[in-house]
Amino acid sequence: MKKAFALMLGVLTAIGGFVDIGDLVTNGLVGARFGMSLAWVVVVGVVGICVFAEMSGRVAAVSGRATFDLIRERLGPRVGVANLVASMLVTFLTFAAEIGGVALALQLATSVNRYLWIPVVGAAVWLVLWRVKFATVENAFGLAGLALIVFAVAVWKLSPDWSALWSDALRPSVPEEESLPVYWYYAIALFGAAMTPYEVFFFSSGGVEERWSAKNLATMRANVFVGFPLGGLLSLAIAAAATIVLMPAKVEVDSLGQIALPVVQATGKIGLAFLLVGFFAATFGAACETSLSIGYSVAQYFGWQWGKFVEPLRAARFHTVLLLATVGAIALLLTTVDPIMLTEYSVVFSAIALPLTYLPILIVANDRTYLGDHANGRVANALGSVYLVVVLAASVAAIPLMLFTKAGQ
Amino acid sequence: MTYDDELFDIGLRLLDRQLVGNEDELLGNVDNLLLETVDDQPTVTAIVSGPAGLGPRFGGRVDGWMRAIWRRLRPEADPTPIVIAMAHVERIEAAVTLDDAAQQLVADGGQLERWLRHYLIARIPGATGGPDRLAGEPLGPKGRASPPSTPIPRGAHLVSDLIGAQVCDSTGNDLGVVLDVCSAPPHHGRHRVGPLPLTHLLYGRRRLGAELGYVAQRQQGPWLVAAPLRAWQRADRLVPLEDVTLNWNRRTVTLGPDAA
Repeated sequence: MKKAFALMLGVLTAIGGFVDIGDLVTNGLVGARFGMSLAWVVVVGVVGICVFAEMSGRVAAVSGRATFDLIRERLGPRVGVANLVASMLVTFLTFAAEIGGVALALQLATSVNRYLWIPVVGAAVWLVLWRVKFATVENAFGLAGLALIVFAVAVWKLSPDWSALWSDALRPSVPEEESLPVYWYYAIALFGAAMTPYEVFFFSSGGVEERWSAKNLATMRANVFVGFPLGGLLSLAIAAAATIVLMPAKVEVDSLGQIALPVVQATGKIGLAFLLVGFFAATFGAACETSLSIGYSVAQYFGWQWGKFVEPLRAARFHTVLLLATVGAIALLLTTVDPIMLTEYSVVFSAIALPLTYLPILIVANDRTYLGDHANGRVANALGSVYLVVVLAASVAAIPLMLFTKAGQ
Repeated sequence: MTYDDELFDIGLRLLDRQLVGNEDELLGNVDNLLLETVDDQPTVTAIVSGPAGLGPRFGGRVDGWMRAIWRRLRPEADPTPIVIAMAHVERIEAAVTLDDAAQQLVADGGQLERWLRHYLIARIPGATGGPDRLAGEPLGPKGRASPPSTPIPRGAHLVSDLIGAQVCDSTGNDLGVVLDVCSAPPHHGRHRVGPLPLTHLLYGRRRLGAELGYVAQRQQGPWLVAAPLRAWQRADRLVPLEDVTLNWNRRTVTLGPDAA
């Protein structure tokens, strides 16, 4: 009974924790511009993150080593530091975007200007990292993030033309007013939103925080293979809601409020209340995850003590990195940069940085001196190899497409 | 080239691994290794951890900067790096486990951690430290460095001086650089690991990808990664150390007439 409860909790938090500001904004934006014609990318991205997270989770459970530890070990200090700088810049952008997202959600709820909220949110994130237990953070925000299911309810209540949505998704075509490069640019953005590198840093380090061992592999796999796809369905619901309401009205999504519109239209005030809770929990939880990922990765590169499983004084360098990252993210947001724009860039840069973390994990997951009998089998390697090609292609294509389409205009 | 299970790749299996204590405390990385000549054989006798070991892995200006910052953080006039004798290493696995004495030594040597703990983290309300497992690990503000760790002995070298060194044959033709060094596998019994005498040396022209381990492990997949890397590194050669002459001053390795 207790075990079943723990399994259930893990899956639920995986669903609620899957969606972050990147998924919210990108799915809303893509739904409004391209309808369901990019839904296949979400599916590709979700399968990708399952393959990738399962490998890193398995390595963490069996060997006790988290992702950046392995990257340094496999790539050496020189290539490792280049990887660290690139991956952390992307994760830092994502972190700032998440804090911006929380501030936008609070602005929606209170009508208090977001610049007043940003320092408050930053301080609150830091306080949670400083004082609150790891499991509490993961469970509380993961569960509250489930409030975003209101998007699925909204899609159902809007009683759309299901067959049109289906055929739109199953036979993707570029909408008339959009060009092919822009379509592919947003495909990469959506892919980057589903497969952000920080998810893997956080997932594997979280496994070490919770002291996984080979015994926990089944639980870990349940979280990944059930939780993440259901989280992906939530992403698709966001896109579908935008397709149904925003696309016919030709709304150009540039605020969180517009993404909320379909929900308000379908479910009214009560839906809006759920939505605000969901927005807040998803972005706040992801802000904690991204900043922890920065601290984890920097500490793992240098071999420093990290983690919330030790008291703060035992991991002074780790907590210093968390503090600096939070201050930095607040400073970046107070330059009045638009959080939605920041999010759009952060998901594309995530796609660019993916091979940096993906390749070392794929290699170590094959190393029997680390994993013994738990090394990659044929299925994991077949999927892993296919995704290596996909991830490399997305990474290489992202910058030319970004320049050519002027970031999707 | 044959690469049987009798060899332990130092670069792949030991360098850059995480150092852990007996209760999974994270103590640092294997940033560098100390090589001494024991019975006429270059032998890994100690692990060097921290910026003084990491700097030489980068070389050039980064090395200078890293060591300069490290020196300024140390209270001593002429600081010695954290050097952990291989006799204190209990196991080499996914991580390298140290015994309590070595853990104490590393805790005493971590000056950046100590400085941040004292001047930053301890001043934030709610900073707690938990109970001390080891006697002297200083959490309080007055913790002072205990006597410095083993100084680097005369005639010792860093493994980073050897990996990356130029390799030429007896007539002076350039053959590439040293990619990795190997020893016999460390035994994992009741005993500590102890010094590891080097037996072989791997060289080739292509440094990129040499750390990924596809030359050493013939079985490791997946094919999509393994095949191109093995093709890329097909010219790498393994030579027994008795067939080569090491020149530490010029950072060159000369192969004897039989080896090439």
